Amino acid sequence: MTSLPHAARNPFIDRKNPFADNIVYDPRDAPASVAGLNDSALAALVAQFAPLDAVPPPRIPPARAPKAQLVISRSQGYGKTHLLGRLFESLEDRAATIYLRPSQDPVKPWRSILHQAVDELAHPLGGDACQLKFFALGVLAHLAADGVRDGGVPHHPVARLRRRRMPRSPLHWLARQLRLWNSSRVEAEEAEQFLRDGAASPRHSLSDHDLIDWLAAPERLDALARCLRRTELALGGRERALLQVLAAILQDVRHGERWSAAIKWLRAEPLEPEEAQALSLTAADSDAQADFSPHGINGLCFERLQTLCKLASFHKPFLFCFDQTEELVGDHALIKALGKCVERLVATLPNHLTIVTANEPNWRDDMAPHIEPPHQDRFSEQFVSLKGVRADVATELVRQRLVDGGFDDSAINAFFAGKWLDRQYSGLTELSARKLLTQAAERFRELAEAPEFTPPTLEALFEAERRKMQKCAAQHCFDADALLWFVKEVGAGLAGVTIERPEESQHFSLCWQWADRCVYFGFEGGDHHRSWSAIANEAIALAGREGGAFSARALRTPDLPHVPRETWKEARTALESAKAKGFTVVELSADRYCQILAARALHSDALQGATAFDGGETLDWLQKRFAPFLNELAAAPQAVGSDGGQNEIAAGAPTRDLNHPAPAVHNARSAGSCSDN
Amino acid sequence: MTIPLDHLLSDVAAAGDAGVSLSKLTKKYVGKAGAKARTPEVEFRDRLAVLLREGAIRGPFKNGAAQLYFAADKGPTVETVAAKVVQLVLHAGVKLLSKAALRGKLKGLDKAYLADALAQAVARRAILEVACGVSQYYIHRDVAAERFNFAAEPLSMGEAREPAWRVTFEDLRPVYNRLKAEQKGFPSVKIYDLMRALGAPIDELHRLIAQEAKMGRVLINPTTSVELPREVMDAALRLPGHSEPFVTIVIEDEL
Repeated sequence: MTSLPHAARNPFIDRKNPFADNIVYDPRDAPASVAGLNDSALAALVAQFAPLDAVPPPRIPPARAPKAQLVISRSQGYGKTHLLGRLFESLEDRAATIYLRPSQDPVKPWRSILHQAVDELAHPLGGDACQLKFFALGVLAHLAADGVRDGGVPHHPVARLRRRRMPRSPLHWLARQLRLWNSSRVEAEEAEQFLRDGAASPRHSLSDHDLIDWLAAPERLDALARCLRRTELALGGRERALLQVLAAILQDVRHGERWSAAIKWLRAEPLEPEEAQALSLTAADSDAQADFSPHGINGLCFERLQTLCKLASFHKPFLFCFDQTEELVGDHALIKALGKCVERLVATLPNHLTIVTANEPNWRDDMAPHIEPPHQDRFSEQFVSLKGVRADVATELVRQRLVDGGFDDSAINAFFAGKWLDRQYSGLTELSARKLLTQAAERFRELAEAPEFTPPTLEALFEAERRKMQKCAAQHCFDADALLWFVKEVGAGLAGVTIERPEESQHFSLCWQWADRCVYFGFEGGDHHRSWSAIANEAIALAGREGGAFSARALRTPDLPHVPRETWKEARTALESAKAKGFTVVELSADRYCQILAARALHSDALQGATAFDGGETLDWLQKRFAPFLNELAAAPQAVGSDGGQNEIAAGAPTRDLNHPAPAVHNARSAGSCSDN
Repeated sequence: MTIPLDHLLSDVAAAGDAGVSLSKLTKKYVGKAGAKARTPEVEFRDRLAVLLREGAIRGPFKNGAAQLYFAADKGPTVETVAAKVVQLVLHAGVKLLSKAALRGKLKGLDKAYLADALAQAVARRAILEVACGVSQYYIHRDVAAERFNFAAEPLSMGEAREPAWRVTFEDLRPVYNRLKAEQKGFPSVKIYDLMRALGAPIDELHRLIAQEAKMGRVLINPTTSVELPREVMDAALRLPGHSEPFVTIVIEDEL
């Protein structure tokens, strides 16, 4: 134990360890950095982005996307996510930032990307503000400014008012008088500038309800749609519908009726008639069909993303960042899908920069060999390489954390006493940031005379993740990728199971296959009656093909509306028939869903080297931890309890202990579904 | 008619210590540009790279304009060239051979190993280096023993082995650059691959890497979540005070 010099009172005792938090989970929560730490990598990425917003909006023709940037870390803990956080901060006023985890579905990767992008855009930024509202305001205001300039849209009246109120110098006044002969033109210029100023300061403009109502007025949207059609953006005749959706986002409060319908439309989900009516959309405008094939859904999602990127000409370019690619290692179909997506992003979507982060050994040995050469060509030849922390930067980093933690100079000197930092660098010239912070945390515990530190067990780590998920309501939204991951990775722990992706299936993405039976899994986040009719009909068809040993599950999360809805008739009948064949809608409880999200987070941490357990160990433990629940999901239909002719599975009881499995059967909420509560 | 690439290894092995040139292999397996039924050059190159990675063959060694390949246990090494040098010096007796004269007596790629071979033979005390002006001359220990009438002690294996290998940063760097280029510019090169490419004992390579890492000319990295073969982990460098083994190195351009 190191003794502290002149320590009347040990300044480290009973203080929060400022180095305990050494992993960045969300780039937007990245702690402050110090000069010299991956500055060149950050500068390289900012430089790649710069041509995209070299001219102010509107940028027509749209800026062509540069090649995708590959950010390579020599090993874990060199700060990939932290770098993205710094990049988001650097480009906060210049880019619409989208943080993405790679899709878990190789058939519908665009759906995953689009849904994550819309969720990121809709993520609250304080009050009612979010990137999506800024986007909507930017598009409508710049479009209106163009219209005012070109004469297609009448002047905005506020500009005139503002001109009257505006204090003028005598010279301005004289100039104004001289130009009065052309007052209409002056008004147009002022109105245009007023609208562009409004788009440039969206947070302020969102409180200007007069402006928003003026922009969203039906006659204005007609005029703006005409303006949009005259541009080179080619939105396939959906201009009016698109502007109505943006107007609804701008006018309605978060999670209001119109807002929710607009989000569904943006996510390329089918709208119920009342939702289309709330947005004043025609049947043709509601282009997402409930009975689309997976490729149809994938294609429509790509088109939506393309539309958003095109419209970014009127706002800020997008920054798409694929992180945590460690999850893909070993799954070559997903790796291939990622390569294909990057290829299409770069080749066909304007106004954006794509960034992919990876650990070098993962990328070189497992990922790059499975990405098609033409797709690899869409990555920049020069990758951005992360560096370790050298001793001089380490001194500053540790010092900054201590200062931020409220420690004075004498405590900081005591921390560095005995050439502590030199010892960490013994034989080396640089360390990974995480390694340095881990050593600093250990040093802090030593100085604080804390009991000997024992790394937390997997159970403790899992519980910590679960509590974190429970606190974060935003995490509870339906995430098909998280559920897919759970069924694929954790489900692989079932004895004798083979995980398959049924290629010919329209609505079931994964299948647990045994020699004598199979369980299909669907991940549908929508609640359109025709979608559920189609799912039920496919389940019936699959049951006929597979024989009696068939069952199918559709996993739903607590944030989603209950299906079937009270008003459904045909779909309810179809679901009843499917249920008789072994199909079940599993409505996960909030606690169960938090456990699944926690499991994925824990596994991701392990893959990043953030825990004392590797990915394989963690997955083994999770498979045992969830064994009772997995067995319930896998139970053959005839083995599952029945109540009044309704099949159900015991999906709901939180599983605390492998030796005390969850209760077996719960009553169904209604026909065709089972509750997880 | 195309020749199956499966014969590639046996052809290189058949060339023995003389080695076989890349152009000869290309001509045989890929054929001329206009020829029908050619094996695609990319396939040929891939197979060559696989054999190199697996350590079945060594190369390419530049000999003038030619790039030579050898089977793993064939071709010149410091030991074989040192043995030739010792024999040449012995046969010369009291007629002293200079370094330039020795170079003239060696053929082909052996010349590239002369400096290391001389250093090794001198270190083993198999030959004695004497200087006259700026030139070095060599005399065999047995000749000296005979002339001075003393009994030469037999060479012990320990004495012979310890200084047998002396890898320097100048040796390491070109091999590192070659391997880096083979992995499309990704900078982290496995110590295991370096060991195979250099043909150096792992302890000697570890000594050099540890020394250079301390000086800052080489950066060393631990592993990641990718599962590595046991031999790769066995070749990893372990440093006192660091729990995790270092599997790869990076030599940065600006270093």
